[in-house]
Amino acid sequence: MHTAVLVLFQVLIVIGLSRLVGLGCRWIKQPLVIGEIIAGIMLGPSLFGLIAPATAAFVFPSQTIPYLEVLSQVGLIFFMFLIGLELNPKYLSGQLEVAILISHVSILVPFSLGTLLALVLYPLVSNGSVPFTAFALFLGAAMSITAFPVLARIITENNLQSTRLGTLALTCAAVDDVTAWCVLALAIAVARTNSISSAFPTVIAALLYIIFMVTVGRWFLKRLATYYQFKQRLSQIVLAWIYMGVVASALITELIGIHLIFGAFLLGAVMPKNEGLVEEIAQKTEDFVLIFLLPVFFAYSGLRTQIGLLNRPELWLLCALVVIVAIAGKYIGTYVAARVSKIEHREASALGWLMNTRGLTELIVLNIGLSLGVISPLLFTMLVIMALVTTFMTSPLLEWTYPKRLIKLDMVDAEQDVSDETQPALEIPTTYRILVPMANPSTQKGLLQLAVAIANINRQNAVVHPFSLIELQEDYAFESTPVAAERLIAERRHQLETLISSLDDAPELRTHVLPIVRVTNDVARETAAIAAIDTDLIVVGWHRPAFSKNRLGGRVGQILSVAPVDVAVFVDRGGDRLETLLVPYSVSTHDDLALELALRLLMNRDTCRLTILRVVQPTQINSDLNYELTNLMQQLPAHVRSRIDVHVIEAAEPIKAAVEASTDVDLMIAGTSRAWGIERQTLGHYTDELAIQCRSSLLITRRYSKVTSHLVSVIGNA
Amino acid sequence: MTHFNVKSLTFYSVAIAAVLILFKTVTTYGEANIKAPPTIDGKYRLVLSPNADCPKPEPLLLTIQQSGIYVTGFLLPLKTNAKEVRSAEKNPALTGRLQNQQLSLSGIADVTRCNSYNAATPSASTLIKLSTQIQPALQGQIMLSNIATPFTFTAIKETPSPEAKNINSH
Repeated sequence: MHTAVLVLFQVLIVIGLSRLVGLGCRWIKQPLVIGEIIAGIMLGPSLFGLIAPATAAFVFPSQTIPYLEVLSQVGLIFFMFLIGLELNPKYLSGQLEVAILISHVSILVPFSLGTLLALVLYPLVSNGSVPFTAFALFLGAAMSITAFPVLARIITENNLQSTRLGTLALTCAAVDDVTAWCVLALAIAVARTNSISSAFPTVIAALLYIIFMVTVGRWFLKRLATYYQFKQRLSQIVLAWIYMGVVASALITELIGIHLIFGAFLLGAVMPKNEGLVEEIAQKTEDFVLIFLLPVFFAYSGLRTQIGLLNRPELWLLCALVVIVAIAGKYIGTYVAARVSKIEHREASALGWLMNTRGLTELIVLNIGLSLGVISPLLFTMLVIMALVTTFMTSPLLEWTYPKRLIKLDMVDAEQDVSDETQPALEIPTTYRILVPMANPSTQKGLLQLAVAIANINRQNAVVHPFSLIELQEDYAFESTPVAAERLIAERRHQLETLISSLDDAPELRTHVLPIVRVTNDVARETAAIAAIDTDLIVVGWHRPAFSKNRLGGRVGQILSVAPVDVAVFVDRGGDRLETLLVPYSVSTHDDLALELALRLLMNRDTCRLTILRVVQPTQINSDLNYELTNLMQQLPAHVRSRIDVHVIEAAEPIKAAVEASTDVDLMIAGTSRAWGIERQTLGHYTDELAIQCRSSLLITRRYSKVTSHLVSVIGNA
Repeated sequence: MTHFNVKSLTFYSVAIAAVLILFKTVTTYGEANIKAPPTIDGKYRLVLSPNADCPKPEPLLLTIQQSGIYVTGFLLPLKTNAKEVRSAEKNPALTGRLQNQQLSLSGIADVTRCNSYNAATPSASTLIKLSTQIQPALQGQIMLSNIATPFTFTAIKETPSPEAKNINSH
């Protein structure tokens, strides 16, 4: 087969498998990039070559490897450019002193340990053509790497980017990364010239180039940024110049004697971080690089990873030693430095685990080492295993040391600086908390108004949280970097603030209506997780689901299935009065909840009137309300009770009766019970008959907890 | 800048200096005392000396892939075409170690042909045991499972031919 055709076929397999395995990794809550790395290894002699050597040799014959290498180098160059673009000096702004200390120690310790480890490894896995110095330098560099891109994404996904832990981790990782690249550059120079002294010219040349880029290059690029400000878009000719610049810079560093990737990285790093410019360049470049080229790099790396080489127990012991030294160096170094800077144990530990992430940056370093011959295939494989293990363990260990449940609800005040997630969530003792997921703040004023009315702020210390989740679509793209995510969060927060200030009685509400904005990739799960912390009620707006007409399907249905609290779904028919309420009542816990919420609304406004409609079948005997509820209603103050009417009508079709009664009320509140045609089917879907036919706005209530009472707290203060 | 007060500067300079000194010490010690095993990577042509069981053994090609003292490789008849060689590269069938200037490899290979025998002898995989000294050249003994007496051999290192190089460099 013609080589180009075969290579394209290989690329097809590589991309497909990467996405598949990546999906599997997402499912176990690991970063996508782990899946891609594993997919690459699977395609090599470690799995594919082992179980079907003839097929493997046919699909990946060695004459196509150089072509894969070219593609992967191109991918790497542009990927490093993207990394450089993401490196924002903004990250360095906070806690600089602490960050410098921690990042220094987190490089010095693993580097020293790596050097010592070299003493053990050199006589075993290296051969005579590699001088000890180059070997030790390289191993030290490999141990001190922290994968900044993977770390940035883990932080964003855990919503840590605005916390002290998050910013500290990002700053340290950024400093670490840059320092490690410098050590790597030195290692490459030494490996190529075989001794430190003859590497001096290379080092000097590299430094000169860096200085040139930081001064002249930056000046030139600043003019580009001004041009962009003026034009507000990036034309192809400008992008062409930028790409040419990336390649040229890469070539220059290669000629100097350090690797291609440094030039690309440098250009990205000195690009002026004008938000719009950087975002647009990133958006135009990242899709193709991340989807097409980078997996080829992982496959190329995987084809050189031979797990079969570890065929003796002593080799696995050696591998374990490497992993332990790597983890110990990073974790202990970071932890001790953090404790010395007076950071508490839990945060320091979490920081240690975060800095331990080595991921794909390590893979880049290792591949360079293998190509230069500084490390042998066996050591390469061991270090790849080390990179995988250290990245794999980050997410679970982070969850274990710094569990999400500790990340309590933020007290978000636009002026206040929220930096510590471990602060107690609220300073005022709350007796009632409502969570209001809002997908589209500008159109959901009615929803928020209703939630505030239910909250009954003037009678008790209730809190309403308008809650917005930003769903990250792409796993690895620029928008999931902390800086971009922060921008999205700020935008959303601004929308919520605008909405809150447009409510009636806005000034008094300020301390009771507190927006929460978070980043997530699983809306239902995140909502449930936040609801589990001390929430009494979720009030969610009706969504038009994408694939079904059922008002209780789609996102709302997910929340209903997953959230461990009482839920009320609001179907807004437009009117913004809440004066007349109707509760169709049948004997069910959901209807009890409906009644409780109606009573809360009643108590909020003195002009409100409530009609309780009992629809009895002709043969039914007992038409009384539930005993407890009757009791409770007796406890209501007289001026509240006087506004309640109970109608008992006999009708064969309760739903019809309820619908008729809804024609002249502002809001009907119904529970998810069979009587009203809203019930939960076997597969968790809800039917929604009443919702379709109802003439007024409708609030559908579903009780989850038999214990929560929505009335006690408000009656107590009446 | 308040960041760079004397105390922290001294700390950093001391720390960095300490690590540099450690590095220098370790590397000097390492360069002087720790020797890596010699490089024996590559392709070798094995010329076996005839013995009683097989008067005309055919020459063999031994490819060695080395990672320090841990060695893998594969053994093929010299006349094998390039494609089969590349296929064998994927899964080297021989493993072994380098110890005290002695290399020992064992595994399976496809090399039973012995020219004096009936040409119809099928080639089946045989177990190989190889032990050689590596300095000054590779020479030693090779034992095949279907032939009772071990062969002694000398190995000549093959330098990659110019044509083969061109194919890969395109």
